[in-house]
Amino acid sequence: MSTALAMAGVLAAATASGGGLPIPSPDPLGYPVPPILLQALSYFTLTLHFLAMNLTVGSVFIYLWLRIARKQYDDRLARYLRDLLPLGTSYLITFGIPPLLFVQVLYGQMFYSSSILLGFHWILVIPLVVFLYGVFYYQKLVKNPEHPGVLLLSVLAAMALLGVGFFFVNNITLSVSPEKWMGLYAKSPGGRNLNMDDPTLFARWLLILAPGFTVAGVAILFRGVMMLKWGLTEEGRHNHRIAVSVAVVGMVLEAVAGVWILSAMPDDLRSHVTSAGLAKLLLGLGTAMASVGLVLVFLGRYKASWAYPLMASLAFFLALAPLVALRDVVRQEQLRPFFSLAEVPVHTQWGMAGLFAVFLVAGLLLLLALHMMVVPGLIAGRRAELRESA
Amino acid sequence: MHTVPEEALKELPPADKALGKLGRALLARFPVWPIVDFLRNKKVPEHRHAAWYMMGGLALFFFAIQVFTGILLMVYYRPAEPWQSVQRIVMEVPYGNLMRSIHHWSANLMILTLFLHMFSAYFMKAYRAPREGTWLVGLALLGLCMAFGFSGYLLPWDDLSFFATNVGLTEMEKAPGLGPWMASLLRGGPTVTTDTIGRFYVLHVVVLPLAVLGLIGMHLLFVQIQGMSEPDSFAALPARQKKHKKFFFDYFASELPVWLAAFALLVALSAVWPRALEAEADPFGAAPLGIKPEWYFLAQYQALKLFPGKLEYAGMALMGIVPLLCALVPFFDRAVPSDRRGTWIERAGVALLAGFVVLTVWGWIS
Amino acid sequence: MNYPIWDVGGLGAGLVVAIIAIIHVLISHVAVGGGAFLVVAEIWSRRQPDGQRIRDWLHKFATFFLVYTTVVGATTGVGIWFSIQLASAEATSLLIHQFVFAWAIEWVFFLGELTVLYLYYYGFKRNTPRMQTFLAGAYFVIAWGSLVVINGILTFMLTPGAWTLENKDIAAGFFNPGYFPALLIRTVTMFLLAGLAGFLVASRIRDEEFKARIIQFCVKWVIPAAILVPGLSYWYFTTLPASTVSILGGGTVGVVGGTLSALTRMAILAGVAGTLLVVGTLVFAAYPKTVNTIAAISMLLVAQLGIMGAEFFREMGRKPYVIHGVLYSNGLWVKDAKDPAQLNGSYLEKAKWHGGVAPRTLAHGEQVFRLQCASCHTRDGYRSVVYRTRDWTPEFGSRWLGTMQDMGVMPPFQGDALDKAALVAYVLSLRGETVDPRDLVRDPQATAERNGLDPGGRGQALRGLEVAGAEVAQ
Repeated sequence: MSTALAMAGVLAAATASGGGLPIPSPDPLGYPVPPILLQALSYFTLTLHFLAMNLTVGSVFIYLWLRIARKQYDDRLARYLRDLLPLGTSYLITFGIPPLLFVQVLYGQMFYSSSILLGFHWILVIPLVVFLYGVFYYQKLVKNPEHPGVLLLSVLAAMALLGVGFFFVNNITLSVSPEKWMGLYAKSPGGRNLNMDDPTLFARWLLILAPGFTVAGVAILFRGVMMLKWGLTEEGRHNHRIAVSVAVVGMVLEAVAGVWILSAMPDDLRSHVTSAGLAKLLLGLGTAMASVGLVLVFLGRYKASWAYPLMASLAFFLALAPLVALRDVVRQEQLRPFFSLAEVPVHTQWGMAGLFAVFLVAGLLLLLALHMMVVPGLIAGRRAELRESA
Repeated sequence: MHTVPEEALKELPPADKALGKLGRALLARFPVWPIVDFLRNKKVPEHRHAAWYMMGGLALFFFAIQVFTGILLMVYYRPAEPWQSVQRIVMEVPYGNLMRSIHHWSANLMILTLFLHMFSAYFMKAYRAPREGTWLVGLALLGLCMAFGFSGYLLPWDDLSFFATNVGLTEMEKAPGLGPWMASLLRGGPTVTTDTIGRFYVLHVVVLPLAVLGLIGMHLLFVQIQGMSEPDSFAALPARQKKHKKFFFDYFASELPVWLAAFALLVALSAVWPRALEAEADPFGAAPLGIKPEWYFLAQYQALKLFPGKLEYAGMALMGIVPLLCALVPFFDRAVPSDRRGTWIERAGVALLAGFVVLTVWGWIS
Repeated sequence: MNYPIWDVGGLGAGLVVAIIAIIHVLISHVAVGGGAFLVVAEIWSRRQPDGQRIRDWLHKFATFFLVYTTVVGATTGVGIWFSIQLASAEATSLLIHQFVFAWAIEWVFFLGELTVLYLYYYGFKRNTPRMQTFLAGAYFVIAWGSLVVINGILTFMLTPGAWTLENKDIAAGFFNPGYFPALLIRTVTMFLLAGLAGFLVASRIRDEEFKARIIQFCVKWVIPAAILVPGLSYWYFTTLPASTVSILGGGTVGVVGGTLSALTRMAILAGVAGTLLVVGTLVFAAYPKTVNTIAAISMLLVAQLGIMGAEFFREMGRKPYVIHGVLYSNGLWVKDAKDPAQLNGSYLEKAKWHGGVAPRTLAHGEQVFRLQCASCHTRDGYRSVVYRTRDWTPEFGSRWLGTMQDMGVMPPFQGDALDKAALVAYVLSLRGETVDPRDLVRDPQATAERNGLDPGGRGQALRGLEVAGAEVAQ
């Protein structure tokens, strides 16, 4: 009996201190290259993922709105957005893979733990993605996309997209909160947990989704330029008006989300983000470039010039990248009591890294060359179709 | 000696070829040319319900597998030492376990296919005149095949067999009037003993096969004589648009892959989930926890549980009325599809199917 | 114990992986084989007088192909990744840390394959014939390339070859003994499935003459592959580790598997599936106009059953490891298992995810069950523990746990007598018996002698203990 009590005492004591937290030890194989390289790759690909995701999210919501509004030219714009959706989804999945890979290399022991605790909610992402992806193709290929049943499916697909984002945000926030883990594990062995008591959760969710309108706005800006260049001036101006409006809406929502998340953060974290050197720089850079992007969108109104949407795209890329990096800086700050990247040994695999670099460059060059050969023909064909149906 | 008809002579290979000679010799002795001609020209309608129309043939395929594997099992099975002989089949006889597993899985697939066949015939109203006889024979066949399942289940004489059979016979005993007598007849006494095996074995390998083969013969004969029933959508088409396939060998060629897939499924199930042999039955031991009849009896079993105590008789009555109504359906539903009675029959069918599925699943999980 | 466990009642996390993987394998293999099919069909269509009609059919095929390879194929591939990290985080972590750049290379192929397919599909009517054929060919090569890469990681798990945790020899691990046989089998299977998918799409053609020609085209893909795959499996089999072979060869003694070892059953299934495919395809070749959708689906089903069966047996042979010789399925490292201090020390003290349970309680037993057993067993569902322990007495159970690794399919038990007692008590409680774990450690020796050694005493062969080629201590 006394042994039992003693053991219980030991356990209680262990759990009380930070050392008793069930944080798995990092993988014995360590990192294959200095972590900064993995982080850089991760930021770059995550930015691309967010851009593709934002494009898809923004497009589906604007598409739904246009389908309801149905003013002149709305239908054609809606069709453009609708046709973008499968492509957007493909690339959001494709660009989502590298950052997920790198987060598992860098922070695997945190991420796997939170994933398992999320359990069903985490695996639910897969059927949701299959569903929404399928719906996007279906509504593109079906003979009668105007059918109310198809519209309903589109609404469900949009909700599924939001749901996927929700589960991701839960996972990411839980992965940096190991103090909650044991309790959640004891409560729900089958893995049906969420992290909704995290004060920054919903702010974070809005933060990643809000730019959707802005990115979709840039896509609409591109279309508007195309219309203007092909002499379809009325339509081009219509598109540009919508582009500017939605871009502004996106920015406003993002600003709201930014303020919300900062106020919901614990004080020390917030001060770190807003005053510490690197974090402040990244935040400033991101905000500045986003503003530049918005200005470029506005300046490009009614102008038949590729320069504006192209430069706006670049500006938004350069806005998102530092914010993505900031995200990681915040994560490392939150993990500081428990884990730091420096404590993991590096067993270098320069050969493999080099091989990857070779394949990456060769692959991108090949794809670029193919695009240059194929895409002009596609655009010419589309122009002819649009001219006929105008 | 009979004269070979003109037609036949034209269709047969020339008289100087071996096959030609053989054909002429046979036809001279057995004047079966009308039958051969009929089969040669037999046509099957082509429509989008083709999948359902394959169910009958598939059930026959599984039955043929049962006969084949059953005969092989009979070589080694000894009713006097049931469990030991099955153990020997499973552990010593080369491929014995495979044959036994195939026999088990094929039984289940056969009964499943029969249910699908019955329900599809019901919903496509294949029972309507002049095919009432085919329907009645079919229902009898379903009942007999379930009896096959019930009788075969006991033969290994392991824990599961013994207690599941016991459960089934106990339910049978509760039926008023004939119940106790039938149960006693099957059991060969007041309780299930090795004597019961003798009776079940005779049922399983002699009585039921003879009855089933006879009824299958009738069933197929009726279908040949009356032709394949046509679904309403097909029947409504103008004659020009009705497409038919010759049975030999066009239709057969499209049906064969399905049989091949069924065979592959059998082998896969038998390889991956071979049938276990539990401990030898101990009539004085405790029943295994949660013992239940096989899945195709679960619906009735679960349904009877819904009528506790005195209400039992109502439950039993239901067990008798439902099959009776099914049998009488062709006599209710004689009119064109838009007839009101027709709709009620469809609804009743859906209710029966839904009830069957729900009760079976319920029985399984409880 | 390093990671928590995803306790999926009834199914087990492993089955979730299996279900997603089965879907993915079918579609991914059709996707790559379909690429080769597209190239050949492109070239063939331009040589036919009715090339336009063929190209219209090819466009339909390409639509079907594009949608389901991306929507279900690519996503279930990611789905496998999601599910393996839930089922076996330790193993996933090892694979990712060792092979991250291999995965990154595979991603480049993935990106290329997707983009090239889009250029092919959206440019179908606009691209020059040469560009179309080139794009189809590029798609096939790149898609096959993604197999070349992932195959290394997959086969590494079963046959790590000369790789060890110490030497981290990535080349040895990647080009392991099972690599080339598996690559060849999968490639040939891809051609098989592409042909079968072709049957399915062709079966919808209304013009019977045209359908017949497409069917004959597809037949040439199926028959050689259906003959080769079972044959190539033998080569793969020769590279399997000894313990895997003994598990499959020993099969299951006792009355469940009988005289047929798992290997024999696998061979029978492979042989039967291959033969049936050949027979069915020959029927298609002889009567191409009669091929309908049901017949085409039936042939796909036969192939799928053969593949699923082979994978099922391979998984059986993988036990008790998830990474052969390195990591057991339940997260125990082989190097730790070889160290008695690690193996026999108190489990609750070592396990990070102890759930705050008090020792020598049923909750303690449940935690041991979850962390050590639940990776492969469910309580009363798939690989039911209740079924397998239906004749256990407490003494027998505790002793059995001490020797379970001798079975070949089980890892060693990690923990001391207290842990064993708690687990036994928990397992018995699942079938309704109340056993206080504290009673079990009082005097196990005396109780064992009192109660006798043979649990059931009915002279049966080893019931409930599906064992591979080993004897249970009696």
